[in-house]
Amino acid sequence: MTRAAKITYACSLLLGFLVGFFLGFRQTAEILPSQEEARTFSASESLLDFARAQFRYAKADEAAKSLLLCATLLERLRQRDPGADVKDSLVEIYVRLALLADRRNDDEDSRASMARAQQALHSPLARRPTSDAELKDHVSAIDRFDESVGR
Amino acid sequence: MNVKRSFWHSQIAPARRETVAVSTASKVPATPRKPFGVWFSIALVLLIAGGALGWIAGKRIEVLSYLHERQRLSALSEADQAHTDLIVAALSKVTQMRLLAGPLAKPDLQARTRREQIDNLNLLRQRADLAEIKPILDFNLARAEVLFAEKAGDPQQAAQSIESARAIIQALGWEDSSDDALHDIAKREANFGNLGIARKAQE
Repeated sequence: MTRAAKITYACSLLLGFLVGFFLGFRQTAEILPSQEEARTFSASESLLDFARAQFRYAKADEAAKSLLLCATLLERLRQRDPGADVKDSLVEIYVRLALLADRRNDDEDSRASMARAQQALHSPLARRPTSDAELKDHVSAIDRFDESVGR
Repeated sequence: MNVKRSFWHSQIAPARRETVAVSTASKVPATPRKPFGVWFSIALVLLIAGGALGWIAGKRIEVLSYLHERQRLSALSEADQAHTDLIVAALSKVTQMRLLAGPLAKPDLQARTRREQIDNLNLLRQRADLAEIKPILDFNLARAEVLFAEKAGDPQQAAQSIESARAIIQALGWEDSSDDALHDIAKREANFGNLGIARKAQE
């Protein structure tokens, strides 16, 4: 093999590697965050779906246990990725926990759950704080809507 | 004449011999030359192979850097992070299976896709590292069993699925495990994916 051939081959390999590296890196950098976001979203949807079903059908104790499990997992998702958009699911679950406590007439538990909901909801950009009653109404409206569409 | 010959031997002939030798050397190379097509093909193959290697390396490095950055921002320990990643992947798969066996499934293949969903959920339930989300997997399995029973052609198989679903929802602490309750979750699930249509109808 002549010297010229060696140089040509080495240049081809290097050029290919550099172009491939750039394209692979750029493509993955574009895809990865959206892929991760979609995965987190579908995981939180799965948790919310289970929480709603348990709230609707299960006995109060079992429902509370399931909702707590979902809330714990959602909290962990948020710790895992602070940018993960699980706030709405988390607030809904804490409000449902408060509603379950209301059914048991457990005011203390209800207040504690609503405090967690408010903490999860807290946004420095909010113009005014959302009251506990508004949050409870919102969750009841979700249930009413689901009933009306048979979901 | 002698003068001419001596001049020929001393001056012109050696120079001519050198010229002939040089031109012969340039016509016959020391190493055999390949045609241009072969050189070009080898260079092209190397370019493509280098590109493929680079693409894999670039992708891998970006994944590692992304995971490193996420770990840096995460409030969880490395072990907890890995465990949570597993849970997220499993829950995401549950939603994916729900979509594939429900709104995205062809009507004539629904029994088969439900069966696949049930098999996959059973595989996930057997994993020890997913014990934490077992109730969620159980609920999805019970619902899939009921939906499978509705599509299954064999009444015995349908009855078996309904009984299996009933046992699961009883373990989940449901107040009502009657056939009506089971068919209610099936009916609600049938509307999964039709939310947009339902919302328009309501408007």
